[in-house]
Amino acid sequence: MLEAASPGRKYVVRQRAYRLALYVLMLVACAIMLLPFFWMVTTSFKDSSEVLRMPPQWIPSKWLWSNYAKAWAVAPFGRYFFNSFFMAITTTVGEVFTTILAAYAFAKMRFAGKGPLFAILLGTLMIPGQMLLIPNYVTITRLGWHDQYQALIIPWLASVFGIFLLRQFFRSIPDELHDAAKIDGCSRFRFLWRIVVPLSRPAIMTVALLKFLGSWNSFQWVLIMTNREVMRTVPVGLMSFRSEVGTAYEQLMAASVLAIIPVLILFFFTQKQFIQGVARTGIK
Amino acid sequence: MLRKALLIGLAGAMLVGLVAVAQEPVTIQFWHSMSSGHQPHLVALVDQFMAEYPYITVELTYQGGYGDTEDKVNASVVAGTPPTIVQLYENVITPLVEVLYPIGPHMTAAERSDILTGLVANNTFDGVLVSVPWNKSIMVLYYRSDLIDTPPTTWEEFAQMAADLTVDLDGDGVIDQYGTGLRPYNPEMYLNYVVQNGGSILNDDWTEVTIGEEEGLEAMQYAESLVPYSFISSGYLSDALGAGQVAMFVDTSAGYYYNNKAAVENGYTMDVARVPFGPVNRRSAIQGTNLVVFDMGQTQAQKDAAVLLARFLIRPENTVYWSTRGGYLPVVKSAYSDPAWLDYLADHPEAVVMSEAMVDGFAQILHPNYGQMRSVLGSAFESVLLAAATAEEAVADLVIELEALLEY
Amino acid sequence: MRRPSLRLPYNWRSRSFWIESAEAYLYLLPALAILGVFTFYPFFSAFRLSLFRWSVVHPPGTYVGLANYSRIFADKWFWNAVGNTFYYVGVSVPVTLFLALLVANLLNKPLRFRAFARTSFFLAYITPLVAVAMVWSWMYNWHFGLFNYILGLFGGSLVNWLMDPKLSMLTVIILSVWRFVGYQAIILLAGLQNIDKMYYDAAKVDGATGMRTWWHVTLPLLTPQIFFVFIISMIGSFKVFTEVYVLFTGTPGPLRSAETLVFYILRKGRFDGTQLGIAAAASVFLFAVIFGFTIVQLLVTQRKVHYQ
Repeated sequence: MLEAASPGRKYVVRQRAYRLALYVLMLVACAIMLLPFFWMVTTSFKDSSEVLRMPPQWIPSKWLWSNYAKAWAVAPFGRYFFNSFFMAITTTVGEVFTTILAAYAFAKMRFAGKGPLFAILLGTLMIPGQMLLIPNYVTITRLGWHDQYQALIIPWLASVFGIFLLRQFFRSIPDELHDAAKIDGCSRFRFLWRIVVPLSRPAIMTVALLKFLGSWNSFQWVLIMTNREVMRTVPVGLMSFRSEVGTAYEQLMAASVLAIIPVLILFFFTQKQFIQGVARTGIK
Repeated sequence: MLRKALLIGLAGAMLVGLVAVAQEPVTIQFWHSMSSGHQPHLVALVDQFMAEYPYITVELTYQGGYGDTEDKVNASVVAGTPPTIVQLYENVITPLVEVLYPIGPHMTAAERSDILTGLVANNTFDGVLVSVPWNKSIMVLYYRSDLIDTPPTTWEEFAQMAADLTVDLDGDGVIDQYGTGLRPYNPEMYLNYVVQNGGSILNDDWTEVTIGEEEGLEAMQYAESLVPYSFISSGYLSDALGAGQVAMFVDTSAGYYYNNKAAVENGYTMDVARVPFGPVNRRSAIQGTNLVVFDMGQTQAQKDAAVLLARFLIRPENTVYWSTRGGYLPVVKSAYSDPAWLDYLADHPEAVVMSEAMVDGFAQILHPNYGQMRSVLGSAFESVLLAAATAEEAVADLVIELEALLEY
Repeated sequence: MRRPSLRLPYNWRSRSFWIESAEAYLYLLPALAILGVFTFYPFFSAFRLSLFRWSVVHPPGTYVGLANYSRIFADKWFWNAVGNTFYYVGVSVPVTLFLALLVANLLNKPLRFRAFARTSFFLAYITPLVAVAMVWSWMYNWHFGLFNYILGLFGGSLVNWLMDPKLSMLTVIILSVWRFVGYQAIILLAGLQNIDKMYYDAAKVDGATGMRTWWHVTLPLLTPQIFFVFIISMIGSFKVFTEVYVLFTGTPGPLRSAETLVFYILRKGRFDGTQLGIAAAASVFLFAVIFGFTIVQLLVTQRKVHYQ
C-alpha cells in the first residue's frame, strides 16, 4: 500500500519535541556524570575561605595555582608518581609479554592437558581477588618482599583476562599464514613475534591499556603490601595525604586532580581503542 | 718490685687490648614511629649514644605511625627478619614475647627499681621484665581558662559545668559551644570512668569479664549523661577547641602542644588540670609505647648493643630530655627530682599537673587479645555517643563480645 | 576457516605431539608461574589458613579445625558485614544495569555529540577511584557539601550523609552507580549496535513499532550482553571496599554501618591485629557466596539468553 508522501504536521512537531527531549536528557545525564570532575577542578583553585562556604561558590574568584604547589610540597607526590609509573609500565610490559606467549599457545598449539588447563583458568575468573589478598600477604612477607617493589610488580605480570582476550584474537588469524611461514623456514617463535603480533596490534593495545589503567588505579593491593611513604603509589599517597591536610579541601582536590591527569592524558590519546576494547568484551 | 709493676702493667695493657678487640663494631636497626615533630630529638639522643659507644652504629628508620610500624614489625617477624630494637604497644608485644630478648635481666637492680611502679606491671611477662617504657603520656583535663575559673574536681561538678557551658551563642537554634568533647575512637575516655569508679575490664586472672558489673555500667551511664553537652568528634579535639566549640575535655598530655596552639591562635587561653575525682579515685589512662629487643637472628653483640641503647634512653637525664621536648613524661622515678626536670616544671605548670597524674595512672592490660578488645570497647562507646544504644544495651553487648575474646 | 586436519586431536603416540606439547608449556611457563604462585597457591592456601589460629611467631600457627568458621558465624559484626554487602549488591546491581540500559539506548540514537557523551560517561570508570571518592566525600559534606546545597534548593533540610548509620551504605551505592553506569552502557551499546538490521526489518514488516520492537526484538537479542554485564557487575560488587575506605576515611562508617565483607576481612587480617585465620575463613565464605551466585545465574540464564 503506497503511503502519501508528506507526514502530517503533528507528526513533525512530535518528532522535533521528541528529539529535543532526547537532547535535554543527554545533557542532563552528561552534566550528572561530569559534575564531580567540574567540582574537583574548580575547588582545587579556590582560596580556603571560598571552600567552606554555603551556598557553594561555583567559580573561584581567583585561580590559585599555589594550591597545587602547596599540595606538591606537603607530600612527596613526585615519588608517588614515579612509583605509580614504574609499577604501571613494568607490569604492562611484563604482562603483555607473558600474555602473548600464553594466548598463542592456547590459540594455535596443541598440547597435552589443553582442555582441562583452559577450564581451570576460566574458573579462576570467579575467584575474588580479596580472597587471595591475605594468603598473598603471607607469601609476600615470607619472601621478604613486603614493602618492596617486588611485591607491587611481580604478582601482576600475568592476567587470565588478558590471555582470554588475546586468545580470541589469535584464533581469528588463519592457519595458512603459519603453514606458509613454516615452509619458508620460519620458526614458530619468530612467526609469533614477527607476524602475529603486528597483526594483533589493536587487541594487544587493549590488553596493555587495560593493564596500565588497572595498575595505575590499584589501591587495595598497594595499601596492604606497602608501609613506607617512599613506596606509596599515587592512590595510596592521596589517601595518606588526606590525613595530613585534614580539612584543607582545596589542597586535597588539587592533589586529586594531579592523580587523575595522567589517566586523562592517556585516555585522550587512546579513546577509541579503549572504548572499543571494552565494548568488545561483551561480544563473545 | 719493678718486675711486679711491669707484670701488672702488662696484664692491664692486655686487658685493655682485649676489651678493645672484644668491642668489634656492631650495627643495630632501630625502627620508630616518631614523626617530624619528635624525630630531631630522637636523632640527637641517638647521636649522643653513639658518641658514648663509638663501636655501635644505630640505623634509625621511621616506619610511619604506630599502626604502620606494628604492621611492619609483624610482617618482618613472619619473614624472619625483624629489627634489633623497636617501640611497640603492650598488646602488640604480648604475642611476640617468645622471640624477644628480655631487657630487664640485663639491667642493674637499681635501674629496674627506678622504673615508675605503675609502668612495671605491664612490661612484665611471666615475672620477667621484657620491655621498658619509653614515650609515655597521661590523660589530663584541658580547659578554657577564659571561660572557667576553677576546673571541676568531681564527676558531678564536671557534668554540671559541661551543662552550663553548652550554649547557643548566636541564638540561631544551633549549639555553638559545647561544655565538653568526646571521641568515639578513643575508648580510653570510657576506661577512665570505669577505673575512677573502681571497676575494671577483666578480673585479675582474666577468667571473667567484669566491665558489665555495677562500676563499668555506671561509668557508661555517666558518659551517656554527658552526651547532650558534648561535641562528638572522630578526630582530635584540638580543631574543635580552636573553633570555640568545646570548653573543656579530657585528652592525652602528648597533645598539649597542639591544643595550646589551637587555643592561642584563636585568642583563647587554655590550662591543664588533673581529671576530676570519680567515686573512687581520679586515675587516668597512660598511653605510649615501650622498647623491645628482638632475639630472632640477631647476634649476641647486637642484642647487647640494643640493651645498652634501651638503658641509655631511660637514664634519668635522657628521659627528662626526651620528655621536655616531646610532651611526654619521664619513666623513671629519679628523673622527677632531676634538676633539669625541676627547672622545666618551674616554667611549665602544666607539667606539674601531668607529673602528678602520671604517678597515679593506669596502663593497658597485657591480654593477648587486647587489641581487639580495645576495638570492641570503641564500638560500644561509639554506639552510646551516637545515641544508637542506651548505656545498658551497649554494656550488655560489650560483655558478650569481650567474653568471646577471653580465650587465647 | 580452519582447514580440516587429518591428525587426531590428541595423538598420544605421535612424537611431534609431545614435542609441540613441550614447546607449548615453555610458552605457557611465564604466565603459569606467576598465576601459580599468586593465584592458584593462595586460593588453596586460603582454605588452609582458615583452619589455623594464626601465630606471627610460628606461622601458620595452631590447627583449630573449623573453629574459625564457628567464630565468624557467631560474630555479630560478621553478619553486619554480610548484611551490608548484600544490601549493596541487591540495590546497586539492578539499578546500575537499568540505568545503563537507558543510557545505551540513548547513545544508540542518531544524535549529535554522541562521542562527547560517551566520553563523559566513561570518564567515571577510568579515573582512579580514590581521587573520585575524595571529591564525593567532599560533596557529601554535612555543612558545605554540594548535595545538601541541592537538597536545600528543593526545600529539604541538611542530611548528614556520612555520619548517619542509616544512610552510609546508600552513599556508597550512589557513588558506585555513578561510576559504573558508563562502563556498562558502553558494553550494552556495543551489543545494541551488533544486532543485525534484518531483525528490525522483519519486525517492521510485521507491523511492530517503538516499544513493542524494543521489548520483543531488541531486548531478547541484547540478553547476551545483559547477562554478561549482570554477572561481572554482581561479582565485582561483592568485592566492594575502596569506596567505603575513602568515603569514610579509613573507617567502616558510623557504627560500622558501611562495613562490607572485604572490609571485615581486611580488618581482621591487617588493620586490627593478626587474626589471619579468621580473615581467611571469611574470605572463603565470600568465595562460596560468589561462586554460588554465579553458578545459579549460569544455570538460570542458560535458557533465557538468545544468541543470534
